[in-house]
Amino acid sequence: MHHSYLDKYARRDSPMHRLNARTKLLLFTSLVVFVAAVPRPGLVVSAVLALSVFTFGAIAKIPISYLIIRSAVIIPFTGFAVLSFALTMTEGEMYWQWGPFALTSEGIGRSAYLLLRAWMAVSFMILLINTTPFNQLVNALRCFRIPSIFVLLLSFFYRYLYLLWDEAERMQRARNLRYFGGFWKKQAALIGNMVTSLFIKSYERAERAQLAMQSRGWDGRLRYARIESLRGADIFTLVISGAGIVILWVIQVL
Amino acid sequence: MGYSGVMNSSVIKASGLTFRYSDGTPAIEDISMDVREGESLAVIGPNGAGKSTLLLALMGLLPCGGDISVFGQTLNQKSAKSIRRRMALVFQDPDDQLFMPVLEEDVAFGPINLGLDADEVSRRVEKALSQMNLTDKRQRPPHHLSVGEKRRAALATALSMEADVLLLDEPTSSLDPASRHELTEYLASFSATLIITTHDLNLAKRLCTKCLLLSEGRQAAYGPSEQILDDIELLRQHRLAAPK
Ligand SMILES: Nc1ncnc2c1ncn2[C@@H]1O[C@H](COP(=O)(O)OP(=O)(O)O)[C@@H](O)[C@H]1O
Ligand SMILES: [Mg+2]
Repeated sequence: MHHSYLDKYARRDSPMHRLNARTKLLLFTSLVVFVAAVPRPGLVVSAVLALSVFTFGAIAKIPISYLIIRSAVIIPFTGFAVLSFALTMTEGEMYWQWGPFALTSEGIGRSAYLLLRAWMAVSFMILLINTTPFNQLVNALRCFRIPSIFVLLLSFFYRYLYLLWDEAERMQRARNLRYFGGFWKKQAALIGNMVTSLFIKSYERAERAQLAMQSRGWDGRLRYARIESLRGADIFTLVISGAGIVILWVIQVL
Repeated sequence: MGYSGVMNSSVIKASGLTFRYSDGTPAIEDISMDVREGESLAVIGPNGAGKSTLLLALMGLLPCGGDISVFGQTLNQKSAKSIRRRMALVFQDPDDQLFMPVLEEDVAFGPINLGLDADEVSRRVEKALSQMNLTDKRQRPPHHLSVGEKRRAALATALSMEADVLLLDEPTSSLDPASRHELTEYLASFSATLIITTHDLNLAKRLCTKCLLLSEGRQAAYGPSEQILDDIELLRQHRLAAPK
């Protein structure tokens, strides 16, 4: 039980944490949509957005180091795109060239923006899941008319991901106790066996969980408990952040 | 029928119960039992004897041969849903039982499915959580609970059903002796009819008036607890340690 949880700070207490899950879902997804929709944010807009990441982080009492380390997940995903932008653009001032590769002002500018936007989008998502317990997030999705079966799958995914992780870790440990090195081929066969048995275990677990649901009256239809309503602080946050996003948009377009 | 005036009425009754898993494993064969009002049953036997399968069968969750009736009503496809409103099952592995993201939602799952209104659901959730001493853990995801807490959590999800029959699959396995004792005493205070599978014959002796000994899916012995739990030779034959 020592995996670093993706939502390590979700159950802390802060003004951010106390907001309704729907408010935060709306706030952070609009910010992500904004970042995605504006291909080249100006200097002011970029600065405001980047600053907002740290401001939200500070209000939610999430350490900056955690935000930065967690957001490094974008590197493998965007690294290739950023590099290819940086090395293949030929517009703008040329600094360096070798065969088809070139380093230009335009290329550097574009890749920097790409990296910045990816970082901001991921940071907003990290802020969302670290200020909202997953069950509340899932319930909030339901309010936005996401199909309920999808919502249920998502909550099972969260529940059983950690279980699967633990199971994989236990198997890995058991294997390491009896494995003393060897050929690649042997290694590959071992991994194959582990994946197969992990798959079978999950399948059997799913069967039992289904029986457990059935024995508690589950008949395939979803019924839900009450949803918390929005409070003053939520309305305030939504109005202010909505206005903020509109202002940023106007600055960007002008 | 002549006796029904003096005997308590039947809670759960089975005859000739047989079930094979789809791979051909005969898990239980020709099991018959009758648990009456005020009684409780311990299903004992070594690993693989068919104890868990029997509980699933009694809940009407497996398509098996033979007859089951609960409170005099025959269990079949049609009646299963309404009969299950009066029964609650706790799985051996709490990770099978707890499938919602946080404990509180898991405890509410059953009552919500029963179609109860929101106030009644929250009343039952409060009650079950406080009975199992978990009120302060209500917002925890199950992977943030200790083994003992998970066990009690699994029990709370069944308690909130407020069922008349409680079926428990090895409720004290993997618990330390103190928690085992604590849980046993919890169970002793319940008013529901208990059907408990276990290797823990002390638990059986403390809680159950009747005993069903399973061996390789067959009924090796069935009768009053004192008779079976004192038959040391019989217990040894079936790899069970006699109660103290
Ligand atoms: N899902 C399953 N598929 C096939 N065989 C099973 C399954 N579950 C249990 N069995 C088999 O059925 C028999 C009885 O199992 P079970 O009821 O789990 O025993 P117990 O609970 O007494 O340990 C065992 O031989 C077991 O291997
Ligand atoms: Mg079992």
